[in-house]
Amino acid sequence: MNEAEEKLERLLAAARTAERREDPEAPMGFATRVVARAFANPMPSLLRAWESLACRFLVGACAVALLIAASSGPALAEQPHEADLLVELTDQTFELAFFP
Amino acid sequence: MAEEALDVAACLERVRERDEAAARELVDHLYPLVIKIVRAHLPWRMSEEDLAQDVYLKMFANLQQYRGEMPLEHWVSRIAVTTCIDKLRYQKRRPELRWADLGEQEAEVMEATLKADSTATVTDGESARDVLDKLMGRLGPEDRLVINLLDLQQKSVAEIMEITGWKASAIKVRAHRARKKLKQHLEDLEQGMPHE
Repeated sequence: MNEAEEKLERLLAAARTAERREDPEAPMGFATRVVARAFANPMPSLLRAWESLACRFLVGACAVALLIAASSGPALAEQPHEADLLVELTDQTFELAFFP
Repeated sequence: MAEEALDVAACLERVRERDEAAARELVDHLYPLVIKIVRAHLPWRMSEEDLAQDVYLKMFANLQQYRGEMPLEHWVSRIAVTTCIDKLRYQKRRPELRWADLGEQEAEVMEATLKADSTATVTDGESARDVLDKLMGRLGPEDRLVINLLDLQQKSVAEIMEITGWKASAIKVRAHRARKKLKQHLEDLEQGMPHE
């Protein structure tokens, strides 16, 4: 055991001898206060369950949205872009107008 | 004793039906256990009664989830420990402890503890504990918890597993790291010790 370890051990050993006070009983009125606060909140477990359900639903919805985006991505890429169509249409109109 | 005679299962049933008298009985029954844990892991500058109250509120809020797979005392112990860790996490760590911050008795105890050739046993356990608490205030909540349970309360690794739900290997690794940090803080404190 090195010196630092010995010093820490001595401190821990001394601290272990400290008498921690034991309270077998709660202070007067403590239980009443705690229970009043705990029961003032209406059915917290039900709210918690609802919150958990809503979170799961949100995660599910995100997953579905991602799946749809991933599966429709290639299909969208194959389609001609709107801007390209517009350019093509403009070209055709220009040709018809000036070079009939 | 009334506490020993309490039928926990029946009491829990009544509490689930929102029987306030049963809930008060449960609070009283669990109080020695809860207050012991709260005192051992009380964050710096926090009232033990407030923290104990938080533990009970969490217990009542989650009571529907308790299925009786483990003794109620173990379940409540875990709630108490996690509540304390959460509070410790939100609390700023103590600033560095300097020799000048120690009281007269604390300084005496530390001199006796830190003397390289010291063979005398430190008799003022209270002061030693106070200094140790201050040094531990510089550790993270999990490190503090593991030192408290393993080195101060001298609980076995198996018991700590029950209380915290951590794996044995995690407890051993954390204990090793926590002691290393604590030794460093002790050395830092020693730097300021006046030399004769």
